[in-house]
Amino acid sequence: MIDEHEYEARMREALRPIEAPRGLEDRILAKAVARKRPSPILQWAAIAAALLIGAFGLMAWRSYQIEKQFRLAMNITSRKVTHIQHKLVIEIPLPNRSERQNNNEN
Amino acid sequence: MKTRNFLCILGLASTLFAEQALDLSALKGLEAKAKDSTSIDLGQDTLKLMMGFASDSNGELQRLAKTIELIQVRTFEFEKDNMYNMADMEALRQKVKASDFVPFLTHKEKGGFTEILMRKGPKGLRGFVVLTAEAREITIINIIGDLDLNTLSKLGGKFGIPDIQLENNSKPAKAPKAKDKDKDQDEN
Repeated sequence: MIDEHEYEARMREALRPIEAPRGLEDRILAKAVARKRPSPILQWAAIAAALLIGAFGLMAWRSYQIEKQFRLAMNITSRKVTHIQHKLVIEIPLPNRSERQNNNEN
Repeated sequence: MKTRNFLCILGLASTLFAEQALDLSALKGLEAKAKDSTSIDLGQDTLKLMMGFASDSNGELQRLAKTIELIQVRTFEFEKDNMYNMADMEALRQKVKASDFVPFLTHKEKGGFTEILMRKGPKGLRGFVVLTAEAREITIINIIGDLDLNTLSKLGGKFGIPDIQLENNSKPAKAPKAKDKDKDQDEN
């Protein structure tokens, strides 16, 4: 059983600041940097993969835009041709049956 | 020397493209006046890119795009009448008529016209041009490719293209339509 004073003394001893060994900080940092840096081959492979994925994505996006335009162009063409057909059929005045019978008799 | 050859080929290619594409510079600035406008220019290279990624599962879109070399579409819708210069459209119409196009349908009306022209090629039809000018709307469609009337009729009902029956001659399409309607009336 320790008394209060001894307890405090032990705590003070345990919590006192200790000077780090010389060069420890540098050694830790050097190890951390060495662990983080991958091999140059892996680095280049990652860059190449990122560029490839980017280029593929860009081409796919551009292709999608072109397809949209293509479908719109086909749609406009179809609507226009249908419109012309309808317009021309309506605009041609067709003689009715009695008029045609009269014409045939003449 | 190589550079000169390359430039010659580039010049030739651009001339060929320019021959096929309609010069629509007269319509510049109409977008600002129009309430709604559409401008589409698709060449062979862009269509090839689309074919590689097209979302069409049965490949019909790719097959159609393969036959097309160039698509030019311009549409302008205006809020009021006469917001564009009809003389520009007439000039364009005369220019197209003067080139290697065969008139397929010509219709004139008060304050406008409708014109469909077919482009002739060595193998048959090489595309068509649709020009319509109405009081509040202009449409210019120029499609170039190995399209024949048979292919066009097969496209009916796909990609929003109506199922139209075209006869294999250069007479206006309105003539057979009128006869058909006439026959229907007789039967009734």
